[in-house]
Amino acid sequence: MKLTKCVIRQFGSLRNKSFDFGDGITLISGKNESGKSTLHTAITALLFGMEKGKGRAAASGVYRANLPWSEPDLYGGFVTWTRGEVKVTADRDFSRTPPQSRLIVEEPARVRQISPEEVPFPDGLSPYVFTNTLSFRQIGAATGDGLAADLQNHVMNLRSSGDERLNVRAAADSLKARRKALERRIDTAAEAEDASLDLTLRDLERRTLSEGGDYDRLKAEADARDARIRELTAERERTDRDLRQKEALLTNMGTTSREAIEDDLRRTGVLCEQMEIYERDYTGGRIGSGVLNVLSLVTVLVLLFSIFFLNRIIQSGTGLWPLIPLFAAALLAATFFVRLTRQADANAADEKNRQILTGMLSRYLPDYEAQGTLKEAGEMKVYLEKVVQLFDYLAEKRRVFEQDTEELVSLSASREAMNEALNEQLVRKVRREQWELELREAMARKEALKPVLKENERLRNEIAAIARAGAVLTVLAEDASANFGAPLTREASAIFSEITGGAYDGLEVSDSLELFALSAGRKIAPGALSAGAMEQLYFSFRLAVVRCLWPHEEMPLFFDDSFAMYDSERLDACLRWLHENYRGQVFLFTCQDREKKTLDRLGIPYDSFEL
Amino acid sequence: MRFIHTADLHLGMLPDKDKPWGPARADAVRTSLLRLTEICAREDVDLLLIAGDLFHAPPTERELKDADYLFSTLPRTKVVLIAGNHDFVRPGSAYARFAFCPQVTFLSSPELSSVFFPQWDLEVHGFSYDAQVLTDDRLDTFRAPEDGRRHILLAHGGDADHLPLHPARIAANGWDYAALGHLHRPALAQDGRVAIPGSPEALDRSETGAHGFYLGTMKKNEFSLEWRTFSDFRYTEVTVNMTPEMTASGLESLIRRRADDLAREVLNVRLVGRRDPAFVPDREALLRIGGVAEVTDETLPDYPLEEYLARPAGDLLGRFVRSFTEDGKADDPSARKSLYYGLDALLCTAGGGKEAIR
Repeated sequence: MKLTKCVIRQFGSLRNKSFDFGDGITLISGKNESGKSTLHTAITALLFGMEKGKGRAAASGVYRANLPWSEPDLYGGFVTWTRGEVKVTADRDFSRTPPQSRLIVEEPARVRQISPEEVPFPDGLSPYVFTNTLSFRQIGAATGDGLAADLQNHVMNLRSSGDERLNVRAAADSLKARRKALERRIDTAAEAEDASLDLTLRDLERRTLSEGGDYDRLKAEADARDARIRELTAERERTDRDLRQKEALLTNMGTTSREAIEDDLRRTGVLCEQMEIYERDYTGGRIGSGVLNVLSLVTVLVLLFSIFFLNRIIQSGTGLWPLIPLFAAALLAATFFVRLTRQADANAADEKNRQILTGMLSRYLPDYEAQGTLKEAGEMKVYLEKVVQLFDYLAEKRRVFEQDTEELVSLSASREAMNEALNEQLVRKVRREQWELELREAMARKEALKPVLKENERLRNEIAAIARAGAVLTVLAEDASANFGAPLTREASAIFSEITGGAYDGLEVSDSLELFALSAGRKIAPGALSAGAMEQLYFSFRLAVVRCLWPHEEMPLFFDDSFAMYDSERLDACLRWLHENYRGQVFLFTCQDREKKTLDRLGIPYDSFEL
Repeated sequence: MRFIHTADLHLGMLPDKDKPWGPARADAVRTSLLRLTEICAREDVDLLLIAGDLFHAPPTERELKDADYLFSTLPRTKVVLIAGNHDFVRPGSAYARFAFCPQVTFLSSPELSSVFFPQWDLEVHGFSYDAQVLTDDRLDTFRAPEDGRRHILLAHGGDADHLPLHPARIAANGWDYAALGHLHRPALAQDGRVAIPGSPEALDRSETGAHGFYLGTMKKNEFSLEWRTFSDFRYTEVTVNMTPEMTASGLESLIRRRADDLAREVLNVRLVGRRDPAFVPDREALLRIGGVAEVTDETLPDYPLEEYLARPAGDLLGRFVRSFTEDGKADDPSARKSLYYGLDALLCTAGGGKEAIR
């Protein structure tokens, strides 16, 4: 890139100035406030255009600083440069709002007007880069961390993108800020709560599994026991009542002794038996007693008669057959006699039996007017059998009563222990149900946290994506730095060694673009160098940067009082180096005549403008 | 024999509870069993099959009593149910102890068990979850007994954490019908012999479309299955294809119009297409539009990637884009995300400005 012409209509203190630039060194000299720096600024503004700015920025900006005092309508000018066979003219009118530009490209085949975006600058050249690389104002003052960072950035951006507006550091910072913002949105409290809920759930599950499972069984048992107690109590009451009634009945009967009753029953049985026999055998059941008596009397009469006539009969010679009736009658008489005797005995016995029966009946049934009949004896027997059965019944009832009492006592005795166990189980059941509720709540809470956790996961994915983007950017930046770093160091070392006349072996550039001079194997920090040597160090580095950034194109260099700190030896070395090694244009802005004299002394050709 | 096959009622769940329609959704879920039992009574259904997750969480005794009461009102319908991964049966829990009314068979064991209905010569086999996660492949391996009876498999599962299954394998194992649950969208396989009814009510914003149950008829040599819609509520996905010219107001107005058009439905808005890199849709603002449940932004900033890729080999943007598009990374959503984050950062924050550079 070669600047061929610069015409300034009005720009700061400069008015109607025209410069035609040649190859090699151009010396632009003038006293302080003569407009050297203004020309430098004007060339930059004409090359790249200038924004008017607003507000405070405008007040302190380049536009305002260079607004002409007189004829502000002419604020502007044009600059022409060539790149190979292409000639570009940028005519800028800064008086207009916004500033207007007329950009003409003259190619071998055609001439055309282009838009600001189409200006064919060398790759990566922009006002920013121009100011920071090609333009050497206060070299030392512009170095340090800021330069290192800027250079690193520019190196990366210019080498790779050709657009200084791509700011890798700013992009990395922006990604970092975006990541931080997303990280702040991650609800870590929800995650902690979720983890805590996991522990709670496990704990509650363990507890609920081991707690209070016997309550229902125990409760069923206790209910059955209580029902049994109620049933037994009612049964006992019924039995008790029954026993009392029956016992009262027995008492009313006059005896409560089963033996006596059984004795009476036995006796009644005998009585019944005897009275039945009597009834059957002695009360004319088959033959009436009257008939029997008559028959007995007749028989006795027959017998007496027979005895009376016994002798005659025997003598009558009729044989003994007439004795047969006699014998029969005698037999009958004997029978009747026995019969009558037994009847008397039976009657007596029967009478006695009746008395006994009557006595028993009156004893058992005082209100009953007993006749002492067989029927009554039978009824008495049935009655007594029932009484015996009653005794049996009472005995069984008493046994049941006692058994029930025993069971009741046993159940009542176990009731307390059982109720205690039940109560304990109830407490445990309530506790377990409480835990089950807590478990449910914990599960519900965990469920409720799911969207939050999902959002956290999404955020983390976003953060990972941002981190990945940042990492790739960093790798690309490091790649560019690494690719750029070695040639840069080589180039800068060669320049530094040469312009210091071999006083230094070269220089070293750290990863952070810190510079060190190398001498006899020692690394010397810039602060330990003399002011001149330090300037040479940065001069070498900046030149190397320019060469590395545009290895195939010679760019114009602008030195604005850059050699003020140099002693004559160093100035000689620098100017000689520029003359011999740098094929692009070199613009020296100076207020001193040291550069002019040096160039003259060294026989270096140059163009000169006096402001 | 007429049967209803349902699953995943998730009683107790409160979908979208932070949304204006949340209370209505909660009511719909709460009353779903009641309405289902009414349908059983109305349709003379003989058998109600519930393939798990009747409840949203292991139920309390009160919830069980409530459900049991509804079952007890069924005049003629037998009920067979199992527990799923949400309402899994913990030993000693109320679910494990509860005694349902006689017409209900709860196959509560984690092992396969069955209930036989002689009147239909039908045996229903099933098992319940005893944990929230079961990952084995048992559903593919259970075989129906070869005893001349008809056999139904009642099961819950279908994803990697909940008994993964293959319908073809299940059908090949001799089941007359596999009544499955777990997935909330209906699905049929193997000529309707393997069916997932989905949840009768939409429970999640992602569950778009109709929700219902299957009504089946099983006779000696006849089997038919009919889908019945249960809920008139539905989530609907609306896709908005964005263009670089679209603005925030334009987008909001478009979504409002769609929400008005679909007043009875709740929208899941999906933003796709290319947008102006400087315009990032405000999800929160869009969610405030009535009837919008979810906004998924799948848009991509309208960066000229091809142009960047065509730049010289050393070009930063070209290299950056290449880093995320070569070696098949172009299809990797994560790589795409990183690419656009990086481009946003590089282009939109260049020089500290906010202007997007194309």
